[in-house]
Amino acid sequence: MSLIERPIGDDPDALRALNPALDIWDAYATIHVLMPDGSIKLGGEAVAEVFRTLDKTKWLARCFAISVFGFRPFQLVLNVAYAILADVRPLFGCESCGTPSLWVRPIRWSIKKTKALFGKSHHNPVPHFSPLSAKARDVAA
Amino acid sequence: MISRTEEGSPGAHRRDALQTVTGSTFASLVLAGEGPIAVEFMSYGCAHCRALEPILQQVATRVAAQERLFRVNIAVEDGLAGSYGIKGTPTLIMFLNGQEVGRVDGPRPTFESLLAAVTQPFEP
Repeated sequence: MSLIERPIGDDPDALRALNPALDIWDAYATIHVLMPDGSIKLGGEAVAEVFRTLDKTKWLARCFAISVFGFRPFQLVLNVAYAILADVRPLFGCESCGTPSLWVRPIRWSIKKTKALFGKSHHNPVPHFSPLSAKARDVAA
Repeated sequence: MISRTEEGSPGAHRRDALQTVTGSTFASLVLAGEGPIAVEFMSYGCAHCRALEPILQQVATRVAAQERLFRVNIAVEDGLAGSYGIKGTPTLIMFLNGQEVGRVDGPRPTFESLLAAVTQPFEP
């Protein structure tokens, strides 16, 4: 099975034409893999599926299929790792990732305070706003 | 953590209370439109817009009798974004008889603040 990589795009209807269960907001929030049988894999499950289709990572994907009494420990670790990574993206300067999850906010607050101590504070007066990138602003102008 | 539930997804609102306008329909639907009109400049890749979407749907349904709400996807309509000096998403611009009468950059994603944002500019 080969993997077809497709950009999400900006047309919700075009995405729903691929599969009626595909929602554009969800597609931007987390990785989706649409399976040949019409099912959709998300997050860590989707990452494992990608590993399974790539020659160099097939060996790794076998780990995620290991089941112990119906419980897949490596897949669980991958799911948790993906969810944590998705949550901490705002800490790495992802402007479009939105307001961090509750558990990430104290970490962000600590980073801000630490930066402020060293004179590197970044003040964002508008809390629920994703500024356009410089490139997008140039295009818009 | 990321989860996908029918209630949690902005797309769970299958009946869209906001109509998408494009560069070709903006003039006829917004500028030539009668009565109060609010336009959300957004993009689907913006997490703040995602947070706002289900609440904006509720607000649009609440004010449907008095006011129309539209959305402009600035990832596609960069010309409109430039025309209205959009610096980021989401930005709400309120129009009355084709004239901009109010603007909110990054509204708080609560029903009360959004309702106030889209109705206050039209209050006498």
